[in-house]
Amino acid sequence: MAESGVKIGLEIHVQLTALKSKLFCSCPTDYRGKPPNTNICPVCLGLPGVLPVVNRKAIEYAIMVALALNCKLSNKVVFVRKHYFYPDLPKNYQISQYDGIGSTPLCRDGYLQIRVNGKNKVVRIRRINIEEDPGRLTYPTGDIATSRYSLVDYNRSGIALLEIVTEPDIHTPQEARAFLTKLVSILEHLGITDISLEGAFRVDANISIGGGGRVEVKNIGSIKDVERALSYEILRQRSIVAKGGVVKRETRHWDSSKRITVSLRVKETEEDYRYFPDPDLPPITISDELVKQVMERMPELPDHRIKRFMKQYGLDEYRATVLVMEKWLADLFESVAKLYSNYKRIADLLITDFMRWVNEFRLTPRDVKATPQVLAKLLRLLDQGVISIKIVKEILPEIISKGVDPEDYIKKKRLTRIADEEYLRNIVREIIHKNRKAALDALTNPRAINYLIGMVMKQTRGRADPSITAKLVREELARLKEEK
Amino acid sequence: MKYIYEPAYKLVDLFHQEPDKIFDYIDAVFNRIKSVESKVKSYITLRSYDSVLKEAEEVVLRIKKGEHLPLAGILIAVKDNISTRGLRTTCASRILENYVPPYDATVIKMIKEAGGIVVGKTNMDEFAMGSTTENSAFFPTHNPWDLTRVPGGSSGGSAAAISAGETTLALGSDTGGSIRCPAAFTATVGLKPTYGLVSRYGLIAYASSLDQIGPMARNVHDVALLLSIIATHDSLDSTSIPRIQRCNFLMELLDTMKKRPRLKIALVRELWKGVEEDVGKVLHNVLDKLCSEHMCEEVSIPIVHYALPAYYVIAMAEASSNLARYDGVRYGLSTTKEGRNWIEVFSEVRSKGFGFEVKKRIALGAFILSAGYQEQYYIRALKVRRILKVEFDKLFTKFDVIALPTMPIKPPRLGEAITDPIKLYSMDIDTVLANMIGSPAVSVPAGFANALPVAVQFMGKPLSETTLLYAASLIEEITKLHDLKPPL
Amino acid sequence: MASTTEADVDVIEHLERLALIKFSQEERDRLKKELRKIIEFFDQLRELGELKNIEPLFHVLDIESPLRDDEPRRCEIPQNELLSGAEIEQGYVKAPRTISG
Repeated sequence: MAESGVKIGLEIHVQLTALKSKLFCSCPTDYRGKPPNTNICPVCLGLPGVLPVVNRKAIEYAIMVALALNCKLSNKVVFVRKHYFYPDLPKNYQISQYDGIGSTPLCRDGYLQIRVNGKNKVVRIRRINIEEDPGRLTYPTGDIATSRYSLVDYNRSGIALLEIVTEPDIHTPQEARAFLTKLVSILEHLGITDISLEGAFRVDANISIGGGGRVEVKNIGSIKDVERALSYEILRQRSIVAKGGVVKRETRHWDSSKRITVSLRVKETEEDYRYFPDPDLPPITISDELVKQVMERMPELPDHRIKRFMKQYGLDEYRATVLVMEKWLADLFESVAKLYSNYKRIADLLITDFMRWVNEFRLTPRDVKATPQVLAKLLRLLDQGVISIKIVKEILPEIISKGVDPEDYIKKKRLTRIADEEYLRNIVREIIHKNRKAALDALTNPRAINYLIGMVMKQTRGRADPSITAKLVREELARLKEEK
Repeated sequence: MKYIYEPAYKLVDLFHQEPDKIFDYIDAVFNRIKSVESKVKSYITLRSYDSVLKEAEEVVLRIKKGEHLPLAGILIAVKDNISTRGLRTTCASRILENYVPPYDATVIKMIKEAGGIVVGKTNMDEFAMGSTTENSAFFPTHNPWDLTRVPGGSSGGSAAAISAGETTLALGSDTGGSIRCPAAFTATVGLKPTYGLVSRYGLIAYASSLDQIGPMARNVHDVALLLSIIATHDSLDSTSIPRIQRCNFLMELLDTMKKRPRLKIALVRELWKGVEEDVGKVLHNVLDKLCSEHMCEEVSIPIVHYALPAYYVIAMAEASSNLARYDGVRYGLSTTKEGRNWIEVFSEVRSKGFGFEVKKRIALGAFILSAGYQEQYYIRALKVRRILKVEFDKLFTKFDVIALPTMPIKPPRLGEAITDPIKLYSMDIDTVLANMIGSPAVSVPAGFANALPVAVQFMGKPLSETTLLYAASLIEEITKLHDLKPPL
Repeated sequence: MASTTEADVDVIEHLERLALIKFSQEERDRLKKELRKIIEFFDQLRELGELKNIEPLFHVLDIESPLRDDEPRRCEIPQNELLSGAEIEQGYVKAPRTISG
């Protein structure tokens, strides 16, 4: 009974971080790390008498996304005013888009195909809007509840946002993750956003179970947190139902440090935003010509890239997909592939040990120091037998976090593999001499050979080339047999 | 009295020949202000004599360097809803009582570039909501022709200042007649330009789809002169009409006056309803003379009856949105924030800061836009707007201009008009039409009824300003009423 | 009659919440009277019926919004002038609390 259908719909807010100026004024977009209220002008402060002027590139980027998500484009861009009072909103209305009389979202009725547990699934996109970001609120004590007032920084005010709204087609947190991962990969392939930037990617999740009230969880900042918040919320709602309770319709806040959702307010009615077309902004026609222009400039999208990876590099679907879902990883792969031709080996290195360390160190792509040249060199050293796979694993974290050159590293740490037969033969002889009993044993028992090889390894601290060592041990044992 | 009632276009010529005369002119105007301002009360903020003089020195220097300045040294009064950098801009509201804009409206930039000098900021109905200038949060302005009467509104301060000789030119704004109404009541000339001809950047919005800044003066030539300066495409205003070059309306007017084309004039029957008898008499007298030389025809457009309620619905809806930003956080009236919830603080600031009429229009506007009522009122009003536009577009294929009263009544006594809201709103019956359809319209003195000014209005298709100025000039020729000096 | 008055009060309170404006008791009495007159005045529009085939006219000019090139330009107006009317604390603009209680 408690298992009745989970329905999840997502509202994704993505900043168009590739833009150089704000949506309706020419203020720069590089506000991160700037002192508060130093990236502002009369327009984004909403001073009396100011008027908005639309950034062309924002419209083009939005059309790109609409096309990539298979949406039906409107024939015009209409901006509306969405009214609500809040201290971070300079005009106490947000210039946004809406589906109503005289207004239309940029596009609607799109879809995105995802793959979850080996099965294909389609998530429908209800609509995509362009809108402006409000300012940012902070609190003098750091805590909303204990602060006697709030502080506003308008540097972010007016940054261009896309709001992407799905239908409630998602049923599990895993599906939500798969959807968002692919969506982000598409947005990154389009080159319009860098979601690793603080605040560039925010998700509101609507979730209901069975006939229960729809709960909106606001302001989730990462894909991982969406998955966590949804899992938490499903558990919470199920336990209410299990106890015979009814899930209230409400808005909840995701507390990412405590990893729980907290109630913000109970919704009695739909909020009355009093939308109407902004009289300061006449509509903008989306001409066929404009769409054609945008289409011509569309970069390669993930689905196509996966297929190309399979064809061009002979990767299987799994490896190709894992790479492409992280655009920067796919880019890194292709850069390494220009320098080193065992593509499968590159892929394996990147999607296993490499990513494990990236995640372990909690690095954003920007923080990863490994260059394609260094990675290619590393793989070549492995192929040439200069280093062993064990040593590759040892150097990798240093390469990722510090960008060290593998050659310098192994020289410094004397990690080169010993392939010098003269040198190794001496060691093998010494071992056989010291372990006569084991050596004699090895003449009849092949397993004992491994013991002797292990002793060589121990003596060389793992640097002896395993195959040469094995060969030498066999040769020396054969000689021993003859001597007998 | 020298200089004070001189037309600007003549002063500009004089100042190019003798630039230092600008100082005498400024002295004369400041003296005039000193002697009449306490009776008329046109200005909310008057610039200091010294700062005006300093600016005049720069203008004189520019002229002496050989620059031609179309507004050389001319003093211009600016309605207090047009942003002036460093000069308090209040909208005649407590909520902006101490607001000093950090930027100049585009029209102010244009005026400064042309050598014009802002002399002060004029009184108005709070946020331009009214037709009498009694809705100012600070004080009412008096009509220079009869100090017991209102000067009209909402640009009443600008009109009174021109009429009283306290400035030579003025800027007003017109959302539903706010330039033309006070021009009519003070026997001055005021023009509401085609929507989009003059940049709204820096004009503190009342109803964005209706607002336009426009020129006010004591004669038609001066209106043409000032319009030439402010009518320019502005990339900061997305509703600014894309125009490649500037138009010299004064030259065009003079050209047209020479050619004297015969005008086809429409008289829309519905727009003459409710006109006071003596007002109607003055108007007919003038129009009869005009029609003896030009072609006049009476027509009927019944939908006009609905223009007024539709106008008020649209204006209030947009106002409720435009005035949402006044919350005391970034600018304007403020109150204690610490330890208090934002809803409480915002409500307090807005309740203390706005006057009753403004609060009423904001509340009604919110109602009009709210779920369940939006279609019934707001959308329906916009449909009426569409019908009006279509009907008048059709009319303008057959006629050059429409002639109509500016105001159906004579200027009311102070306190007389503001008792019944519908009566008050009905004063705008002949002026809202131009704003509803985006057309230009000009008001020009037609005569006097009972010693009070009466004006005729001309309305034309979009961008027909020159034709309207021509029609207004014809009236000036007939009446000889220009550069009028009230008995102050 | 009483019920209409109550409805008026409800409407006024609803509008006060929507527009974040409070009317004093005196203003309310005046508003109640005027509100009804103004709504009646607006209701004239209903005489025209549904106007089904008429497109509402939002923009009186038949022009498109111009589009601005994506070229950043830092505002040259100093911060203290832009925010001269705000209470500033360490560069931030001071605002009320965002939760009640």
